[in-house]
Amino acid sequence: MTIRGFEAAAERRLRWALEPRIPGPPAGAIPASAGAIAILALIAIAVAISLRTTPLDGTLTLRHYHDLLTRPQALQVLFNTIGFSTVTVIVALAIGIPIAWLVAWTDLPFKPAVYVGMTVGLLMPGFFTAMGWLVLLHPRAGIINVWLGQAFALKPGLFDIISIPGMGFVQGLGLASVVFVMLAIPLRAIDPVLEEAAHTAGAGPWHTLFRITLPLVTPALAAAAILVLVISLAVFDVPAIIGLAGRIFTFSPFVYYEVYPFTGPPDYGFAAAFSAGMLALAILLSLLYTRVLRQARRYEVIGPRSTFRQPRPLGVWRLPAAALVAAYFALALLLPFLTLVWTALLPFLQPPSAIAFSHLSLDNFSSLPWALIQETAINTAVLMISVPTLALLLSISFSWVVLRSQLPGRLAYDYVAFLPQAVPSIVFALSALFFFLFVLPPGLGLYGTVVPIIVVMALVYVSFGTRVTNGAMIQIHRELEDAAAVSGGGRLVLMLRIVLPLMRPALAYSWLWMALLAFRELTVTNMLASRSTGTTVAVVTYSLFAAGNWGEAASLALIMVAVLLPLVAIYLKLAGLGGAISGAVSAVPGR
Amino acid sequence: MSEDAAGTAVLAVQGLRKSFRTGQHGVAAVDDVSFETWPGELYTLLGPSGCGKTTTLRCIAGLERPDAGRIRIGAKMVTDAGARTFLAPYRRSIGMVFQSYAIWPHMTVFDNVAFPLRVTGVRHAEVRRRVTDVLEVVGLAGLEERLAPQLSGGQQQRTALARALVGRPRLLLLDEPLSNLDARLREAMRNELRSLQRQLGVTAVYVTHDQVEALSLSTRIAVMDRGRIVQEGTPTEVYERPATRYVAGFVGASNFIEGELVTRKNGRARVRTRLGELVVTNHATQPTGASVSIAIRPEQVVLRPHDGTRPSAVENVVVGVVSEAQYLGEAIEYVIEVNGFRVKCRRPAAPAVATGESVHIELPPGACSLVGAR
Amino acid sequence: MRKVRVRRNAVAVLAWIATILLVACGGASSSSGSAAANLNDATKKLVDAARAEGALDMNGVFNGGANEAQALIDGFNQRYGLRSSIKYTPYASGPDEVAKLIAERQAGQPPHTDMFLGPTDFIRQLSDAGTVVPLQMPDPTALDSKWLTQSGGVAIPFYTIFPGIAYNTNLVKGTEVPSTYADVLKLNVPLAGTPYAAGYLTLAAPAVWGPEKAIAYATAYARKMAGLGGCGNEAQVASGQYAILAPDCAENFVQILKNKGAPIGYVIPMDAPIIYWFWGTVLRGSAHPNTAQLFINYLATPEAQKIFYKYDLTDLDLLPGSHTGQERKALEAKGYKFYVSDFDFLAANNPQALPAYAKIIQIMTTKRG
Repeated sequence: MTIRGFEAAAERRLRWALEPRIPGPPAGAIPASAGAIAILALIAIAVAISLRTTPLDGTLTLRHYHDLLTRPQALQVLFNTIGFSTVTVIVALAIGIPIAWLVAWTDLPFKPAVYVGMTVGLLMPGFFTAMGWLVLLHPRAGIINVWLGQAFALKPGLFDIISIPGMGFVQGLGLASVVFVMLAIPLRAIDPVLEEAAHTAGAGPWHTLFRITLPLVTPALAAAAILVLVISLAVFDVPAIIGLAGRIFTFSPFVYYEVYPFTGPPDYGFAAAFSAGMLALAILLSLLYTRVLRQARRYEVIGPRSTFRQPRPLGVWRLPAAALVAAYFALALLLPFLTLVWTALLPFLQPPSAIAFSHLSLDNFSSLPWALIQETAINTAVLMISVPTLALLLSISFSWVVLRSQLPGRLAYDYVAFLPQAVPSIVFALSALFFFLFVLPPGLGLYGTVVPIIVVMALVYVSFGTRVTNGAMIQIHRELEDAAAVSGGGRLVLMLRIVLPLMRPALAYSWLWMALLAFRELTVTNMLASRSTGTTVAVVTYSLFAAGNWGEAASLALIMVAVLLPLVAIYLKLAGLGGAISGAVSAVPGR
Repeated sequence: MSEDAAGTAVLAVQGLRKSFRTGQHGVAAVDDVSFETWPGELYTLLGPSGCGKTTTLRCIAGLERPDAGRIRIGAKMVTDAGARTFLAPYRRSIGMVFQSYAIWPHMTVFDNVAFPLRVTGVRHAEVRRRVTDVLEVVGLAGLEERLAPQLSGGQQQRTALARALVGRPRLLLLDEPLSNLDARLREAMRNELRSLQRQLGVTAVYVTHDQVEALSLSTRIAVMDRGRIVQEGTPTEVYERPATRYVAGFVGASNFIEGELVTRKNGRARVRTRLGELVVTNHATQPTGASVSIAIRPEQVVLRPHDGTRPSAVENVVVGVVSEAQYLGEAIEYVIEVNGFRVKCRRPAAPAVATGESVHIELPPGACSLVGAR
Repeated sequence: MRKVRVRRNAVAVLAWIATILLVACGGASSSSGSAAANLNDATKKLVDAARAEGALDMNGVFNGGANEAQALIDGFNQRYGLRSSIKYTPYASGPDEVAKLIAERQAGQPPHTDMFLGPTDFIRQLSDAGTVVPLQMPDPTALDSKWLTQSGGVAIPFYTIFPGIAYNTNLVKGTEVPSTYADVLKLNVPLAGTPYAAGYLTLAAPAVWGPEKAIAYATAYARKMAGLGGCGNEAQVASGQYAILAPDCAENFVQILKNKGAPIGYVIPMDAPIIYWFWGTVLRGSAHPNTAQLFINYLATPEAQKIFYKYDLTDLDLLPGSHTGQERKALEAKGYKFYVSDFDFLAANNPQALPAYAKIIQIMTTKRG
């Protein structure tokens, strides 16, 4: 949350926390300043490109924006993006709300398993689910479609995943865990006495639901919906994998194909203009999101807390409800997994049958480009270590500037740290590509390495990082620092020996969380990858898929998941289930 | 306020029992509680946390279902555990003020208070009129459009009260409504609450752990201990004639002097104690020879300087030495040592008695109560 | 105690990451070189230069995957007595690669790979953008030097591709099996396409169908087109997701699938039988230019050709003793008159074909209704 997002009581505390401290050299502001400049520069580059005829030496023009409004393809892509996002929001809410309700307010069995499943769902690569569902519900040869056709003597093609609703369904499955995580805490935080008061005031169950419960939950619901919307406007994995086959382009894949077109020269200006438009939209939505979130937090606890909520007994519905939740996880995780296993073991794709089983082999695994995978695995590991480290370094510096320094204009730093949450990461990638490819002198040798990717991803994660470091730093009582200052030692000593150690648990969880996010990242890495020294395993998986080699792509995706799951297990063990959910909650931008 | 004829109990609770299962064994939160509430009275359930008072109140409200017992509000049997009768809280025409006020944060003060009327379909003009009236009564006129999070604790409390009263309930339930206010506000609100209740004549059941509140507000008090009512009576009765050691110690401070009941005759009991043989005119029910305690309030203990003379016609006088004197502003609390036993005495600050002075203390028989031994 | 737990688990995470790194670094690359064949002096000079470089970046897509690449690498090292560490990176799509290389050239950056292996027109684009260098061929092969000259001295071909019609034998049977591109339009089955409209540049050439007819065909085809995919889309035809892909990318790939047992068949259409080649070229500013030169030279040697035929079921028909050459002769005997898409062909036809091609891509990639 930004400073603006705090509650009245917290605002009081914050004002006190913002009082100027013992002055000191602002060395701690250097990383944040560099980060802020970088963030603003990347946005400025995109806007600048959109306003020039040719990116490097062109003249000012509004031609690209004109193209944006007149080229039919642009409007089609916009329409696709909005349609896709809408379906995603609907699906994510339709799944996330009931599950959150079941977990927060009833005696659903196996609740810890639900938390685990949701955490895994948040970390699963988008291309994993997308590939799985593409194979399952491809209109003609999709496994489910073929079976339905055989079972009901219909022509196969009942469910077409290569459509806006289909893509939205797959993305919504994935983002349902975001909705769950955004609702789990607010739902639990609503004091049940508010409903009891309604009952004693004469309101029956329906009246209470519509006049009390729903209005109290609505801000949190709205925040979740807006967040899912912002995410799905900018997402790359699912639309690129499913949509391309059906010539359905959404925003991020479209930008990619404007930069690397099928024929002819790239149209950076057009891509940048589209990006600028989406950027404006995303920033507006994010501001709305912050406002709604503030409202939601107001409803959390008013006055002293009285009773704790007794879980509503589901009685005879207990097992059916558990089955429904299990069904969601089957759809979102298990089914794609099994499908990819099937795809990986076959030389060419076919629905399960006796003949198919005789074709099973491990050829796809053995014919993977192992040398390349080894090299890109190193790159991925480097990414997983350096991105969270750099992001946290920047975040600590940002928090330090906003919360502990007396720099003028320090609140501006907080707004800048908030920006990456709103900016679609493909836009950052576009600007960074341009910068590292054309602007930086080739002698530096940074283009084609992992360095641009590390920089961009660290900046993208700064929003999340500052949520965590803000929250952690606020908790540190001023007097602890004053006591340390009185005992002697400059600001750096203070930071290293008092503040950072106290923040350590929060830093540890968020470091690991960002490492896991970096593992599966495709949007930025795909855009910036060229040489094998700057490519990650995720990009290789996607390249294999895009070249039509689904068997190998599936094999590599499975290997990625096999590496991911133990790391998730470590994270869950580290954070504990309660910590996992609150860690995931703060991972979701804005909380 | 209540429509019931005088002489008919507004609320009748019979044989209420409820246990909560914690771990393996159940804890009986309410253990055979029975009482009746009469029109216009403020009936208080007084006791420490865990004594079952809140659970009892919630059973009356319909927010909990008892394991056994019956509850009748007016002419309607709202809960009958045996007959499996249970009327939902929203059908009981009650008003309830919660400890945390439970003001709905998404609504204004007006909407909060209007809620009970709106859900029963009262027309808009009437709603407006009644809400304005009740807001004036509780002293919130002018704050209709405020949102709940913008209210102070006291204002939230009044809003809760207004909301509970606006529907003209047959029974008003209050669950420790003042416990979250700071001391000064609490006293002010207490006074307002009392005058409001008397003025409106609404029958109320009040739950609290604060004996000052109970004594000040109540028509009758039921002192509860571990799920049972141990004494029921007017504030005077409960305070001045505690039935058990527990009541004596809970409702106000008390000295306890252990002893043995020697004789009991003509309404006077003689008890042999370390302080000598003391006379008690309380209606004792203990058998002779039983171990008993004499309970007497510090402010009832009379302190006289020891000047050598012993007042003759006064019973229960002993000599002691002032060992402590604690200045409390409006009074001084002395500890007098008598034969190694400490007796607390509270009296006005002037004239003060110095520590170390030898004094007479008198324990008037009428002020002594006979309760059980430790 | 909590701190210890945190620390211990943090160690576990780092250990896991370190394990990945160790496994990744564990893989050795090249094989040792044994005695080289008898080489002339010019070749030896190039070999020495290559030895000094010691490495090569190879981006390409081989149907035999990494195994085929490894065979080529081993063969190359063995022939020249080298121990070069050669990295094979499969790319997502040809146009992707070409676009990246051209952008890198414009930016003055070194190319992200050393050589480009791909079809004729991609080489042409790269050459026009100034991203390639003249090709040396010191190691004599049976390839006529006119093919090097034809490309402007920058590339030589190394295997042959026959595009045509790939169809699913379960979905298209008997008399339905098309024998021309026109026949395809008569069927009512789901058609596949590629987002870079593979083959259409040649069809739009005035020498073949000409721009209007090609656009008309593409428009009609696009109406029945049920989806797009990469050149590996034949696999989607095999799975039944599409019934037909026409023009497809390569007959040999279909044959590979067929050998695996897939229900897929292949027809070379009578109304536009085309041949093109895959060429190799060395990129300007590459990190290992000499090894690249040598490697492409190697692709035209008999050893390399054997490897191609083994994994790709195709080799260069221009070389004597080529299997594909015999296939071509057999087809010509049946009456096929092949349009050969080489550099001369492109030079003559592209001025009119390219705009049509751009339009066709537009048609193909826009979803209708």
